[in-house]
Amino acid sequence: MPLSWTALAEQLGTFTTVFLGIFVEAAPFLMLGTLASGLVEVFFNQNDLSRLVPRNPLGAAVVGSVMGLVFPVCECGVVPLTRRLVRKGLPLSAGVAFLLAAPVFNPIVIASTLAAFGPGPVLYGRLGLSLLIAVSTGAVFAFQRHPERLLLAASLPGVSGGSHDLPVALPAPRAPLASRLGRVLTIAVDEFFEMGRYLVMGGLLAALMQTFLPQSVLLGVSAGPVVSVLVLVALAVLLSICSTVDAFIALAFAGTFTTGSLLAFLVFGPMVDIKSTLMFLGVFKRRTVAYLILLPLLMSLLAGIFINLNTTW
Amino acid sequence: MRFDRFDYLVWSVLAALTLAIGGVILAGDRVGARVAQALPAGGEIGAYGPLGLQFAQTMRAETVETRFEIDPPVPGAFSWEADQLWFTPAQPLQPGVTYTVRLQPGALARDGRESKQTWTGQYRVRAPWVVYMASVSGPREVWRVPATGGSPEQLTFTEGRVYDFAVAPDGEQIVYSVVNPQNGADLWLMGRAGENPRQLLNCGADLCTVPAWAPTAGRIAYSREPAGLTPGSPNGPPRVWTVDPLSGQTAPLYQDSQILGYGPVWSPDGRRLAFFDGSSSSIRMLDVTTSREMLVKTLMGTVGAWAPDGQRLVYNDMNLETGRPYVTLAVADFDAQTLTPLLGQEPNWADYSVPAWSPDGAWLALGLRAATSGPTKQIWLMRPDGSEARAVTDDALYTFGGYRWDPWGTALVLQRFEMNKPYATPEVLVWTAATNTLLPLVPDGSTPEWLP
Repeated sequence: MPLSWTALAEQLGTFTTVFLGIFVEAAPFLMLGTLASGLVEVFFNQNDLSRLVPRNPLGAAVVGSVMGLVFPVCECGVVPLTRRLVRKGLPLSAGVAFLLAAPVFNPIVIASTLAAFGPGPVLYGRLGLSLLIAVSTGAVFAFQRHPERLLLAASLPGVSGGSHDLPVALPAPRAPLASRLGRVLTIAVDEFFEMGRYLVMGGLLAALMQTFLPQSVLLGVSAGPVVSVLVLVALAVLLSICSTVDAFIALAFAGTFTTGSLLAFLVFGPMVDIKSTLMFLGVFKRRTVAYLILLPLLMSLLAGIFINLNTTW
Repeated sequence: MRFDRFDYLVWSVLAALTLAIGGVILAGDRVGARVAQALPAGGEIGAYGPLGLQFAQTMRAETVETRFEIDPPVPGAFSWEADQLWFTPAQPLQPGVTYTVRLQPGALARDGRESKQTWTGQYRVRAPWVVYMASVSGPREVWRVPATGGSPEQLTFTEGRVYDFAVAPDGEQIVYSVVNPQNGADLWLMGRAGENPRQLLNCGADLCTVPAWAPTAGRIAYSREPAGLTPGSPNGPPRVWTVDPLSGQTAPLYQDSQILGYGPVWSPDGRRLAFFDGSSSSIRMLDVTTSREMLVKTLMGTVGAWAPDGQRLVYNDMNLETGRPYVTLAVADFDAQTLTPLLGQEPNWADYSVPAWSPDGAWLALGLRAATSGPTKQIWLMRPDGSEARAVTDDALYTFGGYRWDPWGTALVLQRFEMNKPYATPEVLVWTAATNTLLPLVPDGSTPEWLP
């Protein structure tokens, strides 16, 4: 069967190319995220975060959702950074809001969306919906008073204990800068390899899906006000594109797909895709990961379909 | 798997979201397929339109075109560019009249959505302007002036480096060539009021000149003379190239570099292109849709004028067979591939300029030197068969030329030059058929074109 061997070889070539494309695109951002995580671990202490983040869960979620302006990371880098911040004592509601919003609500992605679509409903809709969904999901997570039921043990905040006479966080003697930077790099490298496993697995899975379920199958489906949203949400998950460049991919769909579906693609894609789902599993328990997928998914679908059927965007 | 209050809350939220999605879908489409806006924005159009509708969705063409109404009624043709419908009137629209377009409900988008309301758009036909080159005595720049007279407006600011220009058929843009520091000429685009000037084509040391906008507006033909082999040496022979005004992509019209060409002229239907091929001393007529050609020998080096049907070309030639050379006029029929003499041996007429065919095809305007009138040329009108000839201008002090019909065939813009005045400059005028009057527009301008 020489024909099928040829076809298989072609598909293997496609699979390898797609996987390398995803990995090469995402790895630098994961590295940036782990570097940021190392910086947070070494240069921030728990008191700094306590001062910056409100105690009110909703307020914490709001602050978490805009923290991407300070930590401009995409969906690959945001996972290790969120884990580090939560371990440093960031409230879970803020952590979840940051996890979901930061891949969109950061200067790089805002600039790329502006460049692709200009100032208009897509840019404002993407920012507004990302914030709304992230804050809403974060607020839901604020109702869980037991983080250990949501997080894996390695992601839980450190526990202070012992004498009540001692402060919660003991001021450590300040190490030389070079030594602290060395520690940042050590943490970043360790975390890169730890989270990198999930990136590789997610990339493999996404490449597999793209190879055997080509985009044309999805794009060939009718682009009605409801179906178009479902199609582009599925495509966002399937393509697993970094949020820094996804606006330009969405621009290619702008002529044929509805505004609501473009927004769902641009909002849900950075929150959840195949590789980030795998990375979530390194931080959260499986049930939590399911919630982190379902809540933004339904909110994105609702927003996209509502926009298509009720607005003239 | 043990559920706590948080899990119940999450599942409640998920259920509420699912219900909300169902509710939104059940409530149905409240917007439907729709027209996003009238094109061009602002609804002001020239005599040739076109009138555009920008849809928010990709539409099924036949469901839209059958619901399209225009008032006052005008025949025309539809064309689509992605989600834009364009209606090009078959006859020029009347200036000052507001045309109302209605799209009745029921038009279908490709995604199945249906337009729910009657869409109404208004398009006002603006009065034409005249664009011209000014000035002979100062820097060469493109200017415009209302065709009924008024204050001229300078459109280009190139320190006098404009070489020539051409107006888009819809009057929205002007393409012009500008001499660059390498002594080549680049092509530039600007809006009808001179706004947003931008380089269309960087030609380096090549000379890109004599642009001609295709009536369908999607292509500009131009003459390109390659740079000389060494700096300062003369340019190579010209060839005709085309450029896409949107993308700037350019290519020679012929792959064969031996086919030369200068001064391209499009037929009114945009299907054919005529230009002068110096290598064969011929006017080369090309059907760009079929690549069929017709070569017409002429010693004049000019191209001629297409009839409104896009089939016939009236052109000049010179007869050297007798001891006294004289200019002739003939008609080349592209479909029949025939040449028919029109004028040439009339006893009272001595010389003819390239004619201009009126938009309805009923008249030819041409510069004509009578045997008894001295060196000046006057403007004459005649039927395409040479009958009913009459002079439009009759002033032996001036020689007239550069005549162009307005879109309605009711007026000619032209230039005149005073012969016995030292340092005279050309003037731009408009001749109106109904009143048979000449209206001076600008005292120092040349090569006028209508700006619809």
